[in-house]
Amino acid sequence: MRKFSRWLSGGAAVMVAVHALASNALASANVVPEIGPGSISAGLALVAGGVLMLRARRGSK
Amino acid sequence: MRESTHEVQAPQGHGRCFGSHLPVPQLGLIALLVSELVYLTIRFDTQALDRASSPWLHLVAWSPQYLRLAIAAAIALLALRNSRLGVSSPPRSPAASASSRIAWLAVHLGALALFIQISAVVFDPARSSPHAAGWVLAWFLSGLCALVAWGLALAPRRVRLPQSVQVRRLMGLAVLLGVAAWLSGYATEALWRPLARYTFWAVSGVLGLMYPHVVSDPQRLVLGTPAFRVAIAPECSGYEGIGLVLAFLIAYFWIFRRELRFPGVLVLLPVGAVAMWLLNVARIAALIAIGSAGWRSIALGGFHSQAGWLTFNAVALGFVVVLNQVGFFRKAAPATSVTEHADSTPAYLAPFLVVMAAAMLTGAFSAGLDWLYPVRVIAAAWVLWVFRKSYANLDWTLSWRAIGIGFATFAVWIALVPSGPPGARWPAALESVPFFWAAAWLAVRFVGYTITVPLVEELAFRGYLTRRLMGADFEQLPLGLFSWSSFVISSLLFGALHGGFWLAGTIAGMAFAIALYQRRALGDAVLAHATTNGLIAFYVLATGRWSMWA
Repeated sequence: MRKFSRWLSGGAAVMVAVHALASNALASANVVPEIGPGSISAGLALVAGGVLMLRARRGSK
Repeated sequence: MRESTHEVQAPQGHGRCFGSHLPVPQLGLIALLVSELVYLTIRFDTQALDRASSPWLHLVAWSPQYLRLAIAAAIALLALRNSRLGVSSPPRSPAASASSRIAWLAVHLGALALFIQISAVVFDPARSSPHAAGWVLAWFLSGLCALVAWGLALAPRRVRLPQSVQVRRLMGLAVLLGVAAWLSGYATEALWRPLARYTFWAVSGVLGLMYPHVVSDPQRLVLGTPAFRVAIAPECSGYEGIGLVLAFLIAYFWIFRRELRFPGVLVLLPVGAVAMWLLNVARIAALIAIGSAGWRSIALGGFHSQAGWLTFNAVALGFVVVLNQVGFFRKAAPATSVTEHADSTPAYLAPFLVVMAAAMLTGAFSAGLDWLYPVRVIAAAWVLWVFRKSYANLDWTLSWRAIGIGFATFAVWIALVPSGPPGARWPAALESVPFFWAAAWLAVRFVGYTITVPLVEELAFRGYLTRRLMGADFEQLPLGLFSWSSFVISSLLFGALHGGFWLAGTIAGMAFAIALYQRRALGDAVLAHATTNGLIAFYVLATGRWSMWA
């Protein structure tokens, strides 16, 4: 059961990640999407840096 | 002052010497394939085939779907490679690998040249229609040949038989997962339009609370006020934000699965999806309100492109706080797992993150020129001041070599970044304001570009990231410790941050890292960066090539 749930969650993670990436990377240029592709590096840098900092703060008690 | 003035031995397992092994051929081949794909997607537009009469040409029009499928399978393969199913690399003969790699690369380039020629015919229905079946078959065969040759150039060695079964099983599983991901993505596209309809009604309700008269066309999903209205496209329905936050949460759950309590944390998935959808409703209502107030260019420019990222970041980081603080979502941690020393991560990262967040916020309320740029400088100065004691041990002595690296990087930047024709004395947006305000804005822009930007970026990339990539306990590693992987990855990420100037940005990142490695002084990297930016600023001011100062 644990193995099955591991596979299920891993597969779901891959599917969502792929689709989120593909829909952003291949969004039509005619319509401005909800998540602006021009700011993808800044947006991802902010969230990744934020996670690193928040988790670092948690460790320093 | 510097953090490490003498030769420092890295803790075991961290850092390598300058000549350590890096899979340069493989990385080069991956970069080559990505460049080729970018070139092909820019040069050939599948929309040209949408109205082609031959059904054969519709097979080619589907090529973006093939690309999605390939990306899905590649990501699945990478994910599985690190799992228990992953296989270890067999021993190889470097000489044999090198010669066969070059041969397969030559085959790949030849097939690619043929593929481009055939594509030029196929993507022109007027030329290809009379013999569409033949041209499409040739298109598929040449493309397949180019891909197979690339794959063989990537891994030319013979895989031994016992492992080949494992490899086949792994690849088969990756393809299956990739197809499932692709199919689910394709199927969920059908949900975009219904979601757009729900979003339309929700925004309509919010606007009804704010305005006495709301303009609404449910057939075309057009909504707004008499002064300003927008069409809610499927891409704006909230689907992308929901997908991103779900991907973020699932990845977070996977990475930190050992410290999270399952299945309790899974409740955050629907909460995240609903939160993103509601925030998207608020985003569209705010956009219409901004446009209706007379700021059309801000509504359709900065706000439209930045607000989605701002809400995603707020929701994602909010969930990290919740997962860290709420005991219900965490397994009981042993008392010894909490570190006792002060963590200096915020001192290195906070200035950069505050500047990025400030840039997004001010960008959301600007159109074209970022009038609120001084907010970034003030925010950066404030955070640097807060953490000033943490920087006391960094070396800030003058280094002529660092200045030289800064000059060389400036030359590379000028050579690689398209500068455009010389322009006016002022950026077009500044022409309309009084001289004093235009000069004040430029002065603050100059200070931000030459002082605060080098400081916050070098603290984050060379001070933190180069060491963090070598180990979670980055503080135990001396500044300026070299490893090929951290050098290359941190420089590539630095380049990615510069958007369209990514190549120049990557080379600049490498140059500033080299400045750091020379004396293991972060001040040298800051000085090299500041020199480059100062020279670019003077160049822009002198020549009026404002497009370079993006």
